[in-house]
Amino acid sequence: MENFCAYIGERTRSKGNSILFRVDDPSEREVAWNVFEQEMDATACFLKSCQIQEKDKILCLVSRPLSWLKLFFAALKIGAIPIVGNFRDRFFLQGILSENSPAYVCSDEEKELEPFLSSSSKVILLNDFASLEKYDIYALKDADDILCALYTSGSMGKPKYIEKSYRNLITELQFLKNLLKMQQDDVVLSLVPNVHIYGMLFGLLLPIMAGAQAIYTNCLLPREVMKIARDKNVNFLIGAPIHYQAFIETNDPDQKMSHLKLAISSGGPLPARVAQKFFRLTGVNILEIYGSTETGGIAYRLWDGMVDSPSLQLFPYIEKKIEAQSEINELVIQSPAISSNVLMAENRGWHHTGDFVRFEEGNRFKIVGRQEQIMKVGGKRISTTQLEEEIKTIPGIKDVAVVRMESSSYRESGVAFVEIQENANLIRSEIQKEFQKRSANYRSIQDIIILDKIPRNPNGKILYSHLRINKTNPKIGMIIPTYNHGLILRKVVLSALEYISDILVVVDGSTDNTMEVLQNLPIKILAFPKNRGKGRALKTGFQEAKKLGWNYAITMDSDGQHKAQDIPQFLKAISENPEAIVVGDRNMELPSIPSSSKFGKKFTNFWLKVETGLSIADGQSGFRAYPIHSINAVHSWFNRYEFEVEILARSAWKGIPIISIPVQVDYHPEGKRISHFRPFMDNFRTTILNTILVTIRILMLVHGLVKKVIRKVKASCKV
Amino acid sequence: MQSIELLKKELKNLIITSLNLQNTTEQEIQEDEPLFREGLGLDSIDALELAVALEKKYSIKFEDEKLARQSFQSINTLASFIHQKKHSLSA
Repeated sequence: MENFCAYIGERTRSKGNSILFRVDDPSEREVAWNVFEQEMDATACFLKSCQIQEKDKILCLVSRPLSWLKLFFAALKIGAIPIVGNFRDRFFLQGILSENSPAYVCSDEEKELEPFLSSSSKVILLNDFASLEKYDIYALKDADDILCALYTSGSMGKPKYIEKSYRNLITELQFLKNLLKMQQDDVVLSLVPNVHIYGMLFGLLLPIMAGAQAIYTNCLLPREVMKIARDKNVNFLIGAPIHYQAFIETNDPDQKMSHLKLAISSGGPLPARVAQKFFRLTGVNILEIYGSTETGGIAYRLWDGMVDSPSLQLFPYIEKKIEAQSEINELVIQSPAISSNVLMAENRGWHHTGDFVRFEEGNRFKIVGRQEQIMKVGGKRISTTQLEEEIKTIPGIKDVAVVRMESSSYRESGVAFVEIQENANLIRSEIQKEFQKRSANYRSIQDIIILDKIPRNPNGKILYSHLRINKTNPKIGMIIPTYNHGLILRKVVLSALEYISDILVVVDGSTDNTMEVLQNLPIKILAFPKNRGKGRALKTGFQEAKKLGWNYAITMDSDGQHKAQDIPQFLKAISENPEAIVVGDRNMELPSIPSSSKFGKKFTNFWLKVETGLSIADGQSGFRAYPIHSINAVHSWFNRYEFEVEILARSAWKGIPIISIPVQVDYHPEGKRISHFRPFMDNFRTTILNTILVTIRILMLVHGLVKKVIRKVKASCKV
Repeated sequence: MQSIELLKKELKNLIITSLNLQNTTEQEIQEDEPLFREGLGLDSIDALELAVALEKKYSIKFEDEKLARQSFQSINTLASFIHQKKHSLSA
């Protein structure tokens, strides 16, 4: 059955006049299985009468969903290749005509066809054909022949052309059908157009395979969507992250969608905050699909309110390639669902996703970063190198670096840093205008900044991450407290400078060569005449950060145990959780970690739980990010190592959220590493701290209880 | 009550910031130009993002899909819609 139309034929016989597809827009329309089959057949006859042959490409310029559907399936039925997409972009037609001129262009509106009249493609106007001829032949194709092709959305830049074979689609659909347990009486509501691979798979082909009813709506407002979901007893909701974000911000008391079994999100990363709140409001889990138009779905995770941030689970038919023996790898995959024209273009047989992941047991993983040069824009990847090339063609530009900005929105964009030729007199707005004229990707650049010089390292490599921090708004700096780590300190600071340009080193009365090794570095230094403790150093650092106008400070130890490569993770966590203290959770499973540290971590976490009721993954970690304004308002008593535990407890009591992110840790084999943490004395001092904190906590609880009792007594007196 | 000209200026800036259009200047957005498809070329996801941002900023609610769509036609229609909503709220 290598032709999806056969499913329609089969279901027509079993489901007859029940609804197959409904369009919920102001002019609501619906079509039953049997009527749809007739109309599809009539369209197939019409296409045949236009001399369209098997394997001919038909560009589908139909925008009305029902007409689109008929054309799409009729084309499949006769074995032609429908090319679909959202064709509204001014650069789009040029692109198609030059790169990929299709044999036929088909529309139901005459004016859509005008641009093609002078091209080599034959234009076909879809008439209202009254004939209801049967068309009984299903074109037989090989599973690897191209079935259809998609252009990725053009509204954010140059569309990509992606071919899909039957094997590409059916591999994923069969898995999804089991994963979602979609039944033949289910109702699926899709907010994603069918011309998007995600909408096509989940909102159209999957329901057709399962025999479910598919509803498509282009309603925007969450209230309207919820109303449809309620009125039509919708079981599955297909949306993009922005849809769920809009849902949770609506705050509608009438949000119960009682038939909804599962919500699905794809097309961009779903913020944890959105998934968790959606679950709290509706009680419905969100199944998040990670993938792209090129690959289809790659992995999934279920936001069921049980885990703060679940790991992604690789689809079972996807093979991964681990290229290096390191903890973090680029996700490189092979799968029958990847488009062959994509694999062929990559010429390696493996698809490089550009995402860096950390694998866990059972083919689970977490995404920890992305190749510097890849931006994700609405489910599509744009390379910053390509944007750089495009900007370089503007006369007067000497050098350019495009930096991807961390963004919580589904639509990433970059900032272009440009260096102007000496004799040229270009200004920013002129560059913008020129770029807009010559590039289809102009919306992927949110800002252009002129620099005297693009920073490059001694080997001539652009220091992208350095540029990125320059642009971060709010301002984020780094505080490195240090005491007698002269041997490694310079290396630590240099590695951090690769990622962050504002660094404050607080020298806590070091007696070694610390001040020497800090010479000629572009950093700020505060020095205590004698050792006053890490806590005091940090507190002084926070005060200074406020004076420097920083909004956040990332703190990092100076002994080399933390990796500067983790800094981008903190930036991301800050942008997603602007109120929170972010604590880097050190992976303590490595054999090189001294057992005294492992004990310290567990010991601290136990007490923190008693004191705050919070489970903090690593309460002793010094690799953290603090929001400056709120941290300066938290009072603390302790000035040494205990400070870092104390500040967490006190912040938690003040209602400052505390979140953990995984970080790498590098403990040098014992002896080589110089730690000033004295296992006995410092754990002893920590015990004193904990005693005090627990006492305060108990007093707070008792106080709360007493208040409650008083209130109750008062209330009962009134009665 | 805020003047409608000020509101239009504010709306343009809101569109620019909430939709990552930093490449576009306030002056470039024509007040009677269609915001979607033609003109700025925004899509339905943009519209939703904008709706969310507007609801937050002006504490209004878009309740009727048809009305919302009409008001999203241009800066002019959007400004008069919000003006009206705010007015009816305070009245």
